[in-house]
Amino acid sequence: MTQVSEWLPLREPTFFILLGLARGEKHGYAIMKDVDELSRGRVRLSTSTLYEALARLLDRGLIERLDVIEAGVGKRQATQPRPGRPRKFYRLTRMGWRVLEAETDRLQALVFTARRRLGGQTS
Amino acid sequence: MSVTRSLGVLYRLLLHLYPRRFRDEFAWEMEAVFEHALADASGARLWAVFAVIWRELRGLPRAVIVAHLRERRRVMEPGSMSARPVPWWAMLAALSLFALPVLTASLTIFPRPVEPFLFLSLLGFVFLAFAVDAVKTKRAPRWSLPYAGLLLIVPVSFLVRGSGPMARLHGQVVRAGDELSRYTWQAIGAGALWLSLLAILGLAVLLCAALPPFRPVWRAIRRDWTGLSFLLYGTVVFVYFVDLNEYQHEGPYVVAGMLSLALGAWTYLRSKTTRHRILALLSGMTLAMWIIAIGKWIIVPRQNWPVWFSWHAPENERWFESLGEMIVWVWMVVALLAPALLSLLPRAQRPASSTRLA
Repeated sequence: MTQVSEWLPLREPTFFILLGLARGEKHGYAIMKDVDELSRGRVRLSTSTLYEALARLLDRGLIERLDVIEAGVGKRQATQPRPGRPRKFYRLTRMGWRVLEAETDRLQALVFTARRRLGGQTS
Repeated sequence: MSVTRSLGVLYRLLLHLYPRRFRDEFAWEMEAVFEHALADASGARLWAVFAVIWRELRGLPRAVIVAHLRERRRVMEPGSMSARPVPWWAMLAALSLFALPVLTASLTIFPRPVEPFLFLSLLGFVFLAFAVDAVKTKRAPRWSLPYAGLLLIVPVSFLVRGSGPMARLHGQVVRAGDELSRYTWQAIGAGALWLSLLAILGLAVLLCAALPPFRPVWRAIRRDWTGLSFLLYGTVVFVYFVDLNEYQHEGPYVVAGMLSLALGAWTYLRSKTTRHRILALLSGMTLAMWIIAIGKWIIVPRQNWPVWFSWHAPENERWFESLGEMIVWVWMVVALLAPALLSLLPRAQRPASSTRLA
């Protein structure tokens, strides 16, 4: 079983991918757009980088995959690039949540320390 | 064809750089995401399309390398193959196949009844070890595979060599009488034997894949094809037995060859990766076959074959016997590597964690 500490610190793209999935399951392209948005355009993933990360996260059990068979001919069906094939959605596992929270705590502690020091110097 | 579709086709080709397993799992999704990104970008400005392409080209080499490295690690991970350490008695049982000829070659100073006694004792031990391991693991233990190979080659060899077409061919070669014909016969004879063995094994593998009760065997072969190579490895003992039959002064070469084979088998059973396993087998077999080739080159002139030497000059005979072993060695390399073809077959996709209707 992977320990949370083994994952820390997270690389920035990995952090944003996990953060992107914190609001619920998403398919590949939605994750890509979300990472772009969350990082304010600073982290732009290529398809290869995204799927390399997804494969790693799947292997280590931080995310899981859902095959969603979309019924009807709604908007989602129209945007589905390969009709007839189940669309793959990804979502955080319990372990993924724990890693994301641990990394957020770590970053928060870093920022807190930095702020305190910088605040101390300026005052 | 539109530019977007052309780029999609190009991207699909680039995806072939990934390992097969990765491709099977993600390729169509990646292709769809790439096309989606391109479609979005083409709605904006031209430079946005170039930005997407540039981002992909920049990210692809690293991602491909990482995927290949991960694939290698996956193969090497304990659990992906049998990572259980081989118990000492199972190791001893495996090595007995090669140790028995060593003992019989070394113990010629003892009275003859020792040999049958030794043979029967070892046979009993091997049978007992097989029974215990098979009951414990509920399958044929890996160490027993060379015994299966040895049991297989004996009837196959008699059937192939004694078959009508082969007998007729041999007759023609003997009538021709020249050196080239003898080498040709050696290549054809050895090839027929090893190809027949491979055909029989291939048929057995197909049956395992087709018949549900034997599917666990098929899955085990798919996980690690070197098991079939290890089975064929046991046939080298038969090669030694046949090729050094009626020789004198062969003892040291039998001992050296069998020890090489034992070392190869020992390394194989301790190795955890496909590459290490096949290298162990190829090394053990190569060493053993080269020892027999060099050994024959040395001892052929010392043989007492007056009738044979009246047909073939001893110098020619020494070269023929040595090079003949090299021909057999080439066929054996082919045979040991042939099961690797199974790794080219497509694998089942990793099952998704769940499926649901939206």
